[in-house]
Amino acid sequence: MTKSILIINRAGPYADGRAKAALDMALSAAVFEQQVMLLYTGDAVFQLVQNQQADLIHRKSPSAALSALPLYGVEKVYVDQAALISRGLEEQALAVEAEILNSNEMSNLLESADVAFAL
Amino acid sequence: MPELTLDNGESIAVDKDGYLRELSDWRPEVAEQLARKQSVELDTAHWEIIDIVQSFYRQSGLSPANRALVKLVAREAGAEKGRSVYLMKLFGGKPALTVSLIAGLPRPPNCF
Amino acid sequence: MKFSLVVFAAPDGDPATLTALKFAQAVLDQGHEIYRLFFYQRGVYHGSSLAVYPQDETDINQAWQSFIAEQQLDAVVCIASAVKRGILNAEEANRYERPSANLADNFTLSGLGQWVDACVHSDRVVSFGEAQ
Repeated sequence: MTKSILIINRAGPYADGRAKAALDMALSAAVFEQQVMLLYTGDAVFQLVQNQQADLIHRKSPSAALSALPLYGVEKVYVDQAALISRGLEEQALAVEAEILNSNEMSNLLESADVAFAL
Repeated sequence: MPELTLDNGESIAVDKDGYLRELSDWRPEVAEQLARKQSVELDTAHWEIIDIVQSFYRQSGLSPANRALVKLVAREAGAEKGRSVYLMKLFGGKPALTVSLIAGLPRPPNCF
Repeated sequence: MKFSLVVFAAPDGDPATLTALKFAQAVLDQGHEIYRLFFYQRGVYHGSSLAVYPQDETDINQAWQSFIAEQQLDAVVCIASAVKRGILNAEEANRYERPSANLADNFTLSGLGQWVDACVHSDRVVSFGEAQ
């Protein structure tokens, strides 16, 4: 049986372990053949910025791992438009292909998921 | 402490399952010996997969789990090789774990 | 209805752990079923058999452990989160050559696959506490 599992990312890339925890959940669900959707909102949009030199602070860059998402069959990546705008980020700065959603579209996305987790 | 002895007599520290303790110890001669411990004799077919997995790790920071490994190999080396049976023929029953071990990638955390 | 709970909250100091326990009790009291408890991130500390609480504080680890034993619940502790935080069963202690194991009875160490399985097989999956 397949369910749609939405992982809502709210945390910046290096504040704590949430970015990695969310990624691990997404990859696990994908490996077990579930339909995975990822939403980035708040500071989590910084996770998507390309060319992060995470090794300088002894961490792994989430955006590097995100480039592997298609390989795991995760193709549904969504970004909160307001979060991008308020942080001065352009779509071109993002390391992965993502669909930009306004607040109505985000409501619909949440509505559409069988299960949702916010990290 | 378990060790791996290279042909030149040098010792490399491994854990009891045969994974490198220090990933920085990895080099091709070490891989040959790691493989031998897993009853795998490395040839060009094995090295092709090891190279793919290592460059994937450098790029993404991930050790590819089974299904991802199959897809990764299919993408990089063609559909003929991107199949479980092909990888199992090369690396035995648990190809993703064995490739990670030989390629000097971090031990997968058993999570997926 | 079948419920599963994901506990992100640490047992010490985060009130969400008690909310989760009360919620789980209420689920069963109302005649529903608990398919699985999944302890993730700092929630894995619930699986420690070594936690010691001051006598005038609730021993939340013990409260969970008794509840799980009495109700015979499937309580899974995420293995990757756990070993990193020093929660090990005998098998992992042996694998990583650590001097002792401390996973409490009735808990199992397993992967996120068990969380995925809980999502697939439960009508509702409810998470407690902020991930960190």
